[in-house]
Amino acid sequence: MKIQNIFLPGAALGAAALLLVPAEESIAFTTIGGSLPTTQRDVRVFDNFADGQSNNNLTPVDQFPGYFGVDMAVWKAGVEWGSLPHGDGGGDPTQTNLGDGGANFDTTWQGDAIGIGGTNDNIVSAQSSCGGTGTLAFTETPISNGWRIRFCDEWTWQDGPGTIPGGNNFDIQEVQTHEYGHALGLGHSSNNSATMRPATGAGNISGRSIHSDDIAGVQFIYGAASASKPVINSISGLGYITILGSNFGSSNEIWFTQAGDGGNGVPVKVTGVVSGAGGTFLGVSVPATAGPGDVLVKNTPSGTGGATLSNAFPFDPSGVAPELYCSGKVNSNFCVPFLSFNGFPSVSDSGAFRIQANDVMQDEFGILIYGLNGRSNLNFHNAKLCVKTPFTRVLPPKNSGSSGTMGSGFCLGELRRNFNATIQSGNDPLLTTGQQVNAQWFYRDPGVDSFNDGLSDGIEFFINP
Amino acid sequence: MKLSLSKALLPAAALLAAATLGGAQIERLTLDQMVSRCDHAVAGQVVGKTVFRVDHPVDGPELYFTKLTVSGNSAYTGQEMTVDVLYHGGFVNDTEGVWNSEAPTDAETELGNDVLVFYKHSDNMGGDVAGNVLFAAHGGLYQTTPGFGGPVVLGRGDGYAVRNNVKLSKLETQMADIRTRNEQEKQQQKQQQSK
Repeated sequence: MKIQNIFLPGAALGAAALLLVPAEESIAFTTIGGSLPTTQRDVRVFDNFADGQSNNNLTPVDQFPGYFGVDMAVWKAGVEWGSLPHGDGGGDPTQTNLGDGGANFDTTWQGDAIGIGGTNDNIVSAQSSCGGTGTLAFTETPISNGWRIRFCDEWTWQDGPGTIPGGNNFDIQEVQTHEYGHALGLGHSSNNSATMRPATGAGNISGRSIHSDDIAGVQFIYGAASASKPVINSISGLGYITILGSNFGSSNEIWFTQAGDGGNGVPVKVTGVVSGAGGTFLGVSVPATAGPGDVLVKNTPSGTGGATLSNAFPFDPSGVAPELYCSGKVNSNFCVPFLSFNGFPSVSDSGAFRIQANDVMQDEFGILIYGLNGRSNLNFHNAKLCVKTPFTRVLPPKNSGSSGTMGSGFCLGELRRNFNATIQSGNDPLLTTGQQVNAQWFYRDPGVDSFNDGLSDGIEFFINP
Repeated sequence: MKLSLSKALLPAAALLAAATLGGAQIERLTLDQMVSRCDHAVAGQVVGKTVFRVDHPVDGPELYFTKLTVSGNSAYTGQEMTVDVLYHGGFVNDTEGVWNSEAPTDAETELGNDVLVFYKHSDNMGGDVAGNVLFAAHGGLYQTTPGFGGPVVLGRGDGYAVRNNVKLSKLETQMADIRTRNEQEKQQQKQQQSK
């Protein structure tokens, strides 16, 4: 029997603690008894942290979409205990991989709570003070039905993402990785390199990445990741997504992160999803209540244990939002035309991605120009050309309804086109998934100047699956 | 009967593992830092232990605190004294309460146990609860046991103020030296400021 696999009843442990001196590096993880069932894998944050430093990381990370500051730090801490790399495993500049647990254990990120919650609501929050007496944070738990984690706010909490200063500064992600280790059932380790060591110093971040001793601990409690555990390898699409992986059941639950704040920690679920291609394929429409976060797959016929729940895979239902830039040309009605859009660009989605210009000249012909080489800010016809050449012209027939519509009235003209029709027509083979497109409306404006034309602002977007 | 090495080591390993149970993440402290930052230290016997609950509008509901009463002698002056120290967590009865990852274990705080506690007064240790707070939670409580030539304080290992086993009398001397040095430094600072 390995030393680190020893687990004794509490009374024996207590008695033993009286007798012995802890050794360094010679012993490893301990457990507190119990484990989190799959119904308690949610993690939320009530962001009542007082320091600005706890919420000044505003750099978006594609593996952790939609969240910043303390939220992102806590999310990263949870996925570090996960069975497999979270997406591509990136997102933390101080370690090569997030998702090192290798156990039948994964978390579901459920965003922000709207209160501190009770001791089993699975919420991380700050406590105004713990007395200024050397305690950084603590975990409260009767473990089998949840936990609560409190950060003592007399310290200065830093959200990273890189290194942090010393002094009175402590790293949210490191300490949360430690505290979540308690929540999942680990006690302290006397291995000084382990995340579950009892004490840490100001400025330390090494505990963000769990140590082999911590990995042995989570695998002791939950078992090493089963060969039959569902695995998500990729997710594509937005409104309707395709999940590729393995070990999906004949019937599955797809778990999403809730959109917005609040909730009760229970993931947004789509149930009864049938897999295809030998359990390697799932297709599902994303519920309107799902937001950026994670997707997990629960193989429902296989029971309730951790081996029936997949790894957490990052997912952003909003994708990369189209962005407006540049500026339109003042027209002969002294209006500045402007772009708007709705839907999302996709090679497969049946919905429209409409690019619309308003405040253009009424009853005049327009064309949409697009290019694949980025933005431009060239002076052109007393205005700005927003699309880098070469570009392609989309020629909607006059009065063609959804393809290009001319409005009427003073500054009430509008031009619109469903660009998904252009993508999916196949006329331009370069309009494929991941392609960046820049576009701008160009229209007739007799008398505005010697060029007799007008221009809208520009739009930049990426084509989704 | 031949006993394998692993079996022979098993009880000891179990005991070693047990010695680390309890606690959450606390600040890494040396004895110097502990003495410099806490108010006082008392070596004595646990003579009382109660748990109470606070529901607070800002710090949240279900805040549980354990009050431990230790009766013995000051580790600084030797004077007899009884002190109440507080820490987070505990159960008010068999079903209501919370396990707290930073708290000393129940076994460590049983009535009749001989302990050394470091504490500092706080006006608010959460939920507007004021009192003498066990400094660094479990890291501020050490078991003491009879030894040759006097009680021995059982160290908790790396990162704790008392790292290794040490005679209480020797530890008290070390703490006195630290306090004397701190006092001298304060006096020097005052003198420099007055100049």
